[in-house]
Amino acid sequence: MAVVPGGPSSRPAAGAQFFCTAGRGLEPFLMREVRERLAATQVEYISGKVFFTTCSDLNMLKQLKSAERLFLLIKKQLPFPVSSVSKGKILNELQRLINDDPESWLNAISIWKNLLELDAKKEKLSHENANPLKRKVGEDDITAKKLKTEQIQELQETKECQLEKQIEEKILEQGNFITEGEKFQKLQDDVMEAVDTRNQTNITFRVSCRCSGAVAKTLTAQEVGRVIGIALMKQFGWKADLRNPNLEIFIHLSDIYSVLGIPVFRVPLACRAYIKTAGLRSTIAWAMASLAEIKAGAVVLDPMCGLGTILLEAAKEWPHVYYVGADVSDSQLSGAYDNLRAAGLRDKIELLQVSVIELPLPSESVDIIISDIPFGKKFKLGKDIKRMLQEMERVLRVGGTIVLLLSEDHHRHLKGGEASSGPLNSQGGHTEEPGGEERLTPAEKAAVSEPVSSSFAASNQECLDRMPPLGSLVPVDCYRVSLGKTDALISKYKKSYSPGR
Amino acid sequence: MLPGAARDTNRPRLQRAPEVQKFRRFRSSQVSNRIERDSPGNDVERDHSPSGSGFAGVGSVDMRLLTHNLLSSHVRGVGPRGFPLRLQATEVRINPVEFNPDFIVRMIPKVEWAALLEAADHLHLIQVPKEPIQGYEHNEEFLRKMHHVLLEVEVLEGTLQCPESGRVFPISRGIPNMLLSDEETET
Repeated sequence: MAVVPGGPSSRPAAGAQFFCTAGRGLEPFLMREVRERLAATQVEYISGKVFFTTCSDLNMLKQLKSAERLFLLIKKQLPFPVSSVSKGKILNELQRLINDDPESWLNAISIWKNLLELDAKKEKLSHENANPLKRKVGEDDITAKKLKTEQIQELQETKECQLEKQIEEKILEQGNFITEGEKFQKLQDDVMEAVDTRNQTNITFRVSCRCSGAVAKTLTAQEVGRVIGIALMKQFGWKADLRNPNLEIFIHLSDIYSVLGIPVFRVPLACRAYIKTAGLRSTIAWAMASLAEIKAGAVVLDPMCGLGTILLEAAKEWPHVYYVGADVSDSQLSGAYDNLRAAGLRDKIELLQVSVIELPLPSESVDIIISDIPFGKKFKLGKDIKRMLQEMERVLRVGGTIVLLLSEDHHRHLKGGEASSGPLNSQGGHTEEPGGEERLTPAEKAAVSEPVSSSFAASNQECLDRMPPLGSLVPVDCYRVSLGKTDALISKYKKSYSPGR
Repeated sequence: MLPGAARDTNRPRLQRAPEVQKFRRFRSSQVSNRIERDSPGNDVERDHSPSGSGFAGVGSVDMRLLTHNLLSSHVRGVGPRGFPLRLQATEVRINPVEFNPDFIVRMIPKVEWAALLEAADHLHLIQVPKEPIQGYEHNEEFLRKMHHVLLEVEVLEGTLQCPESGRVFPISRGIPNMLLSDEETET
């Protein structure tokens, strides 16, 4: 990843505000990434979201690897005080999000349009420049596959949205009715705002809403969607279109913030076009690779590569490296093999059928090891985790790095005892959403432009304290990340000396 | 626990009659006939092998000599004498890879030269540099030769044999199978 010097002083205040959603625990990776890749400023996070300002174009934004989805920020503000206020009042407040501040909406729309137009221009240019003769036969195959994958992804997305849509359909029927009734007033509004909105009348939109925490108890997502939808139609004269809108408005109301944004890409960033079948979640695979300090010319081994997701993510980002993937299973290896071919990375990654506890490699011959240690019901590794680590330690060179994804069970085994397992579980990592979120008081949010990792650093330190060195392997970093239903730990070790054999 | 059925479990361990063993595993003993003899570094070399296996040319991931250079036998009791593995190939392919001098420069210090020369000799490759030359970092001709031998020569089908125990590891579809049977493992 190219490191671009960032910092508030290095560029003018121009640039657009964005936010990304991220898996729980990946926020520090994403903050680092937007700073380094996009030279982003005003980087801040709240649990599950990272906010930043950047001048990057769509092509650059598309490069983000640790984010789930990317949004252009319309508005971000403090949560609605739900507890003491009547529902009607909150709905009023919601309308005021649009009526009191149309500028930020128009502003966001014009930035959004510029981004898309710029992209379209570049696309056209690159198509004109492209020399069709240069294309290799094999590429067509891959492109076709990519297209297919994208289609599948879209399909899945559509399915996910279906419920949302059904709900919205109801809302908008009502919405349309109301607009009809107020046509005259709307016409007047249109005239009044003709100057600002002359290029906006052809906008079609839909609203996607998420409520969590106390707001969710008072309001349903449908109610919020309806109020916002109607207000937008009245204010700007946009047309509702649920099936194929050219603009989507995303709202998330929680106890910590209210956020409104426009999804920049239809397909989530986390769905990689180059991965045919993902094993591990791509964002986590990338985050692990990003911790490993991969340098050109390194020998990088994943001794339990499965479908090769980590190696694919690493090889896409750090290409001039010799990657080796090993697995015991025929079926996993053949899946990895298909993935490498589909990604066009066959000449970067070598595959071996090998057991992780008997690596056919000389001692101290590998620079970096990255691996997702299998866990769950299917794998009862127990104390074998120690044997695995001893073998990895043997083949790693002194000064080399190991990055592992461990379950809490593994972590406990590596600590060498079952007794102290209590505190790790009780720190609240299991509770879904608000309970486990890092809270920022309004004052903190306003005052500190970068409320970076004080709390992350704390939990990081807490993990580290529990990690004694394993032979010559010294723990240097530990991040708790969410895999959906469970949590896992990304643990990084460095080999500090050569344990004479 | 992990090593499942290695394909040669019925083979007596520590057998020292490699010549006999070797040829029994081959579909053909004409090891060298399919190898391109063109000068190394020629980027447009293609596989012309009239192979019936169906794998040639489909874009598989095949074992390169760089990987051979890293692999060592891990059969019990063999230790450092398990290196280098004897490479035999029944199908070899030349697969053009984009030349990246920086990468090659960084890989050269890692190369075990004797092992590379032995492997190249088994595959009847010519024009393999005998040793790293002075100032190779800036010698494009040398780097291209190394690029060719390390990254472009691929073994699709063949074997790797432990020089100490005689144990033979098959390479199929370009993937070396280095799994050991339970009795071969160190405990």
